[in-house]
Amino acid sequence: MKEGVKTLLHAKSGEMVRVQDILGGRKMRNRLMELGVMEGTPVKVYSNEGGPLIILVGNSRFALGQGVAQKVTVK
Amino acid sequence: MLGRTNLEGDWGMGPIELALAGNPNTGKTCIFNNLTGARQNVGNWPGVTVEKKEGTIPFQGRSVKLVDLPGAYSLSSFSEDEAVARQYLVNNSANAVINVVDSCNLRRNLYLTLQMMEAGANVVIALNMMDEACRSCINIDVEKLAALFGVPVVPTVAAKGQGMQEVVQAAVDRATGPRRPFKIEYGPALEKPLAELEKSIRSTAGLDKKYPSNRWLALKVLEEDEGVIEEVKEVAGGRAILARAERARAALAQKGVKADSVLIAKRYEYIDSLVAQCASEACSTGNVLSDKIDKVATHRLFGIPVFFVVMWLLFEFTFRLSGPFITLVEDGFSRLGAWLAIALPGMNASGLFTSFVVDGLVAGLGTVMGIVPVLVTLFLGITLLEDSGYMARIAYIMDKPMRVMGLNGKAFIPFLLGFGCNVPAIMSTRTLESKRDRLLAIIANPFISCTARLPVYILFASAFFPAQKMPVVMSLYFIGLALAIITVKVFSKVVPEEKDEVFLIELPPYRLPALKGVVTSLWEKISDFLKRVSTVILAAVIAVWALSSLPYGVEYASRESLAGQVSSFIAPIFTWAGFANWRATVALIFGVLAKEVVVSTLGVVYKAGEGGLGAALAADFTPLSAFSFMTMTLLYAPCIATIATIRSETKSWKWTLIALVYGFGVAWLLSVLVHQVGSIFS
Amino acid sequence: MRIVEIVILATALAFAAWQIYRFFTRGPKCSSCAGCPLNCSSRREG
Repeated sequence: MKEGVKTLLHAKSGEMVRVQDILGGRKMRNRLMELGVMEGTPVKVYSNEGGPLIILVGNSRFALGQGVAQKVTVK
Repeated sequence: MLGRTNLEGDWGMGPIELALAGNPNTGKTCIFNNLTGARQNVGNWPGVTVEKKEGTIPFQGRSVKLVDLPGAYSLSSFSEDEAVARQYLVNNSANAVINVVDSCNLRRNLYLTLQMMEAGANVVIALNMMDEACRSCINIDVEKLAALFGVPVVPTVAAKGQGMQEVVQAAVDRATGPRRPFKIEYGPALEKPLAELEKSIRSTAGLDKKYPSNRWLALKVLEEDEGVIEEVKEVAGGRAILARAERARAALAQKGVKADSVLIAKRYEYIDSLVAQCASEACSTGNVLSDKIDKVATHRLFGIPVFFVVMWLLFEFTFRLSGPFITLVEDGFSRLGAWLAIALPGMNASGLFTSFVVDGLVAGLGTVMGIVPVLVTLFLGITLLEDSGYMARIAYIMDKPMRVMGLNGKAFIPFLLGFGCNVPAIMSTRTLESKRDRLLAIIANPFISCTARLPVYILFASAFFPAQKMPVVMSLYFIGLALAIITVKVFSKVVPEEKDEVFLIELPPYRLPALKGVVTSLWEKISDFLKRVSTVILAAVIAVWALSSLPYGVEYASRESLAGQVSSFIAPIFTWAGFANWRATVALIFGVLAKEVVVSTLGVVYKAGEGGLGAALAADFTPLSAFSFMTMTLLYAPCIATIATIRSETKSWKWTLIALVYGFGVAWLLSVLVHQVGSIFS
Repeated sequence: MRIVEIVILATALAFAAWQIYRFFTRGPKCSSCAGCPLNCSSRREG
């Protein structure tokens, strides 16, 4: 991965970010998009403390693994 | 076929089939229960329903069939429970689909709605209010929503039973009314290849009639939907269409367009444009209480300790409460047996008949009945974990430890359910997206000690380790858990790894479990168990008694009896494990029918009806061989119901056989190890 | 042995045979519905 690209994994607890792109496999990208996580979606990071993350998308909370978070670039 | 059946027009008074579909956690099952009067378990974690179920609604004198589908976020086949929903919606004959939409997550819920409409379903939206907290925040113009989407919208509060009849009325109207076609424009770049695909589908006889609409199929092949591609491959001319789709995708990719992503994005664009016109959010919600609980429950440091405390409480509660009960019930039955042993001959009953009642029925059933309180408390605990919403958090906090084993947090749930019963536990692996994770979770699951094995531990622990009863019982649970972990580790080396990591689970807001639901669930538990006692367990008791009494004239439960002869032949394989007696062997053999039968068989062959089982066991077992036997019982083979489930879920005899041989091998090795190592020290 | 006893014993044996036959032909059942994500036939009746 290029230097300087921020992913969801780098976001701190409580931070509000906007999704830029979803890298990674087709399956994962489609699943995230179908859940409404796509380019421009605001995501609130509830918790990112070393384990899986908890994020708020719309009104639902999702737990997602670090492997997934690593593939979601954000602004 | 979906929708198309309606082209025939008039339904008259014929049967109507409605389906309930929606995202997980939207209240589908609750609506299903309200309508059909069934008492289906309502859980609060994704994956409560992994198979469709049917019920009937009495509606204005006609019979309306209602099918509840597993929750799904979309019609793509992602995990197998979702595939069940998709399969039904695409291939079956629902006259209308009641789409339960959580009004707090309108946008995401409507994505599924849109997909179903594209697939030609007669959709009726049940706009359900799930979360009290968001009610004040969100404002939806129901009539406008209905007008914009062109489908009836009925507001409901499923938990309070509001809007139920209205939904059915709307769905029945929709089922009998005309079908309205629905189409989203995906823009020129995509419409061109779509039109071409549609055309070639129309000229392929095998496909033209098979799917609800040619456009839907064109979309799916362009999206490269795995499930659909598998099906299309099989049809004559299908491969040509797939090749065409492949070329179209490649052409789009050259222009920098990922067809599947664009289709999803376009659908959301469409939804957003409509939602903006009919719904507004006054405040960015969040369930405040829920978030507060999560601060602790999912805390980086406290999360796991909190979980352990919860589990410890659950087991402590179960054992403390059930221990005395088991003794009480056993005492009662042995008194009854002793009394009958005198009373029956007093009434001129023959020896054989007295033996049937005392050694068979009383001894066999008496030993099993004590388990009822264990079932009640343990399943009460599991039900509460599910209904409250904590289950999804368990998946979250166990993710890190599960990763060490090469699985993700979701895979922990089947293990937890296994403490209740391995059958539903194995079925629940359907929610795991990765086939590899599923297989590993299935193979390791039988080592998790289900409730049916507990009476064996309690019996032996009380008889041989009266002072350390609890530690002994707990140690068996840990042995089971440890072996499940080792099994996953071992098999993860054999089963090839998948790359795409997809740990993703929704954390629904916490909910207070409804008392009514909990009570019915408990009653269900008890009645279900009594049903089993009166059928398969009773049958096993009678069979064991008969085999111990035959051939006619032989001394009851002696080596010369049929059961004695056959089991004595097998028993030597347990010599190194320390329990090479035929009674223990016959109990293990019959225990495969159902694990409770291990204990009931011991009751029958040890004539527990008269003197109680504990004392009789002392003649054949030492504390060490007792522990070895418990280890064997814990691990040796899953019951038949579990074996059948492994077969049906893996769809492979090979893996079923591997699981069985491996399971027995491990059990034998470990009980031999226990006895041999133990012998050195004692 | 009296005739009543013979009848009871015979019935019991027939019952056991029938139950075990049913168990294997109809598919065995799990021990519980609580926590069960499935909707087996016993559930539907309830």
